Amino acid sequence: MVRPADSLAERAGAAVDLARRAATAYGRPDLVERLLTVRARLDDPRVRVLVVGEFKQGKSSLVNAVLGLEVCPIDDDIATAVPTSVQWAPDLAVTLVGRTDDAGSVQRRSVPPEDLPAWVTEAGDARDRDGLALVEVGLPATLLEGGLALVDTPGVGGLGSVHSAVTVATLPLADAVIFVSDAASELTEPELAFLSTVAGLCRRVLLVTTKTDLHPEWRKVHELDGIHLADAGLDVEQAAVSSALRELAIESDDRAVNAESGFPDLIRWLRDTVAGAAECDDAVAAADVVTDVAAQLSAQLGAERAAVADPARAAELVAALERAEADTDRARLAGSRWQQVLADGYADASSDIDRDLRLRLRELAASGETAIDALDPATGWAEFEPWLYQQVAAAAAEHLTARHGRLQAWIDDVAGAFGGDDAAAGLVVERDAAELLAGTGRDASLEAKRMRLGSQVFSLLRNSYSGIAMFGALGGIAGLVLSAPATVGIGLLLGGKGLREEKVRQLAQRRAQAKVSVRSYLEAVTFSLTNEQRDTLRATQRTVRDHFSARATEVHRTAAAALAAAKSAKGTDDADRGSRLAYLDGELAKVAVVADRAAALRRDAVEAVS
Amino acid sequence: VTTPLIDRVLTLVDTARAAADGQAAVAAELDAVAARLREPLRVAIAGTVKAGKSTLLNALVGEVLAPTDAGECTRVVTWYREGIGYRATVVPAGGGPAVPAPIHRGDGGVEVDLGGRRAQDVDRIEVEWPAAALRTTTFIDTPGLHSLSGLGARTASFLAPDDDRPTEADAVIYLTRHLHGQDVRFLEAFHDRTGARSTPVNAIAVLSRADEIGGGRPDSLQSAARIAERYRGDPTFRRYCQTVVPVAGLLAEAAASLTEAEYRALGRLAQLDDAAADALLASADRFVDPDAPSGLALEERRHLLGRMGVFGVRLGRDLLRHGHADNARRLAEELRRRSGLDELRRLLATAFTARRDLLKANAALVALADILRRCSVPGGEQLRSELERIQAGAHELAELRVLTAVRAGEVVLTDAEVTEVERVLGPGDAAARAGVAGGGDAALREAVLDGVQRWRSRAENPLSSPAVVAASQVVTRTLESLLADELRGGHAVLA
Repeated sequence: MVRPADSLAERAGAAVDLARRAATAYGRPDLVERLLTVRARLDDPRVRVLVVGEFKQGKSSLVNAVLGLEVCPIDDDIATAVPTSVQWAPDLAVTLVGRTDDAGSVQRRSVPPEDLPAWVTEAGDARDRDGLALVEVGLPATLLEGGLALVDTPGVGGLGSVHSAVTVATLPLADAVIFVSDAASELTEPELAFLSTVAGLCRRVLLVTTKTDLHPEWRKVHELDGIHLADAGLDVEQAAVSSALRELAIESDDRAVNAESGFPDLIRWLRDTVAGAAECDDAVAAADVVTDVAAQLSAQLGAERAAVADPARAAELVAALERAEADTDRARLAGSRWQQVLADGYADASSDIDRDLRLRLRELAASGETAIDALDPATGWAEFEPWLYQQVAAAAAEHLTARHGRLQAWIDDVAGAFGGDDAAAGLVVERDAAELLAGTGRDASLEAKRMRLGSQVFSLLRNSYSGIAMFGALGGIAGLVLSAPATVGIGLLLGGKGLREEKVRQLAQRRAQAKVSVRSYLEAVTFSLTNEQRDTLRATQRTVRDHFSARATEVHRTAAAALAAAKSAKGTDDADRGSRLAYLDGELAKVAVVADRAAALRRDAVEAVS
Repeated sequence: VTTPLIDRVLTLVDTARAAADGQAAVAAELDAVAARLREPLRVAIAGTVKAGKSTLLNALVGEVLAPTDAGECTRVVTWYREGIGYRATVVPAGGGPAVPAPIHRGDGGVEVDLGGRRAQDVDRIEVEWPAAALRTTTFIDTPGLHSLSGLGARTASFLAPDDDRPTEADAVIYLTRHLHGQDVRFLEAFHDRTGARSTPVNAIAVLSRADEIGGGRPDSLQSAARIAERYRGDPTFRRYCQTVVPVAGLLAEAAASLTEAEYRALGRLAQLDDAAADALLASADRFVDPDAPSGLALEERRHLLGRMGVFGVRLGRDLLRHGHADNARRLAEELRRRSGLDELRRLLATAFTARRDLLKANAALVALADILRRCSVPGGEQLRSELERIQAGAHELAELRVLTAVRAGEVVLTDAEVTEVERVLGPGDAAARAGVAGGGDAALREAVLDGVQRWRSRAENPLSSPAVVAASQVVTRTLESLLADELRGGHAVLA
């Protein structure tokens, strides 16, 4: 009996363990393997929370204040330059994580904790940071024990930075986002624009007004921001904090000050809303796997029971199961429909994503050239350059958002094909057995099951993704380099008739040079994004293929086991029939308990999250 | 003795005006150019929403004129001019006569009644006010950029009109809380090398709300000074602004109009022991907690907080507690000095006010060239060639161009040479510009002769690029005139 006090995670763990015992008992090591993976995920949850916002708004201070520790370097002037993930570890440790290299591997290197500021802030040498995607800081903080990782990101508005695009790219992988804006001012137009991108890509977003200790009118700013959010139709929660008061509260161990700092509410949000929701998601995923396992076990037992119960129809049943066995066997092979959809989808998604990128950058190149035609690169270059960076960052962010949607559609297609045709054979085994078992059949709705297939894969992807590839992809693009020094003599500026023609000629030359520079820069951007995209697509394809191959193998084994059981049941003596039936009914009832528990868990988890 | 540049420009504009007598529209434009030449320098204050523009304007004027609020507050471009009386006029958008508007003056500044018009329908408000600070300078407050209301677009079109006309401001103070991509983009848009808009000569950046940097810690202002120092060296900023200074606007505003009652209230806070004061001033909310033991009435605390902010109250209390001020006037002086306002005023005096004639003349020439290009005026060809003669011949304008080109990095010089060019062509007296401030006539002469020799040989070096030659010649001539001015006609010294 489940006690109400048990958490969803505990109940999920118990359900998985129960299913594992059953799968062991019925000789299904493959199902045991899958359940162990689920169990490992339940035991080591990861909840990734991104802290984003304009720079110098107090993001690093917020991360430190949440933990009550000075982890992220704080400086009045120097800003964070590299994303810093703060997560649990038994001892303080700082690990540099490099970008995915050409061979697809990621370099990791431990450095002394005291070197952290040199690596993550603008104070360090930018060249050293080249190739650095993320810095992981592990430390034994109680709050992080549940798997919470707080990721401090560089501000999005820095000079000519592509940070905003990088941040956007990682959003779909985050469990939640904290958007930081200080109480000095209500949201600005660029802030709200970024916030709506964030809200579109991440389910849980919290707008935190910081520095409330310093601004007497913070309540008004907070309220105005609420109005702006409502006007923009954004579903974003709000909080207000003071890192200074939190620090004071910890120093003086003062509960009242702590409450005033607003951090208890923020921590509660992290623990209950974010971590709680992640726990629900994990519980739903676990319940789905347990349901799936129970269905396969009951199909296996059900086939035998049907054969034992009605020997007259046993031959018919065996013939049906033989067909199912053959169908499910085919589903494992390369020619199966889901494999085709996967392969075709790879090509389609790849070309769609390529086209999207090319179109966006072509448009950008065109407007860049128009802009160059309207200026003299000798004098206007410094103005043009940051504009171009900004445009590239915006285009990349839009592109990555579109790509995210495209990948999801691809996965859904594969799941649809798998649930629709191929593995339907396997599903049919379950359904037929259920029909044959009139009365004991559960509601194994094919449609619901199909729908779950896609989301299962996506959560699998989310969990396997480190997010590093995303952080690393854009950081590697070198800056724009003007191909030739564009200086001009004062003599020319002062004018003079004889120089006029020469002036015109030189201007045309400067513009041509500038256009070449822009084109080669955009090519570098395309190259970098295309490389990263190829890696992401391959990783996705691999994950999807492994997942569905394993599922196909499982259903095939189920079909084979059902067939074997039905065949052997044919020879059952009348004398043994009664006891065998009683045994099988008992076993089926046990599996039904497992299935019921999973169904109840799923119901409760879905309810808890909404 | 040559006629001063400003007088030559005035004569030229007046001649054009006389020629255009029959054309009402052109005459009106030329009248405006002439009037602008004669009136005080127009300094616009621009920046991101909530950067503290109105607060800084109040501090510079020394009175609470521009209203401020926690939300977006300045919604219309507002001119503050010197006047004999107190009055305001509203200029409707899209033309139409200016209409007088009723004003109401409360604690929070001068509220102008727009008479039911929406902010979008008003081109600008002009407030006339009898204040000493407005005698030499007309200040223009602008709506914040990047606000959600979209009113910042008005500021952009005011300072950088789409049709490439010269802007109506002679100089700009650009406020920013941090050096930010958006700030730079705005400065670019406003930047223009012809001098019609912003140049590194007529724009100054202010690192505003300096007291809030680092969470209002006691050393916030030092921290702000360090950040400003770094920005001064940043090539991006150097292209667009003469310099960057930190200013704690709220502190400056309070200092500029500190009352005896405020001084006494701070005095009572100074009597609290440090532990009690720290607890009270840990946050804005704590300071105005009705039950907090403070020795001050709640209303007094609210008033102080609104006037000075958390940092200002902390600093004011500290100054009194450590005996740095024994009366309201001294306290105001201390606060003002620390706020950075004195430094900003000094900078405005040397960089803008001292160059008033040059900035005015340059802006008028650009405006006149624009009018002559667009409209046909009798004798236009002659007027144009006189205009070109002035533009090419005036040494002040050549200096302006060299300074702009050097700051933009278009003239390849060593760092030491860049510093020297900026000093020699920069503001200040002859000794300061020669780099021997306080050194006496002999030192001045020696420094100038040395400089003249170096720059002359730079100009004569066959390896120098045309740009360097031109710049060197301008610097040489400026150095010579420094000595000449200082020694009153002592050209013989150089012979």
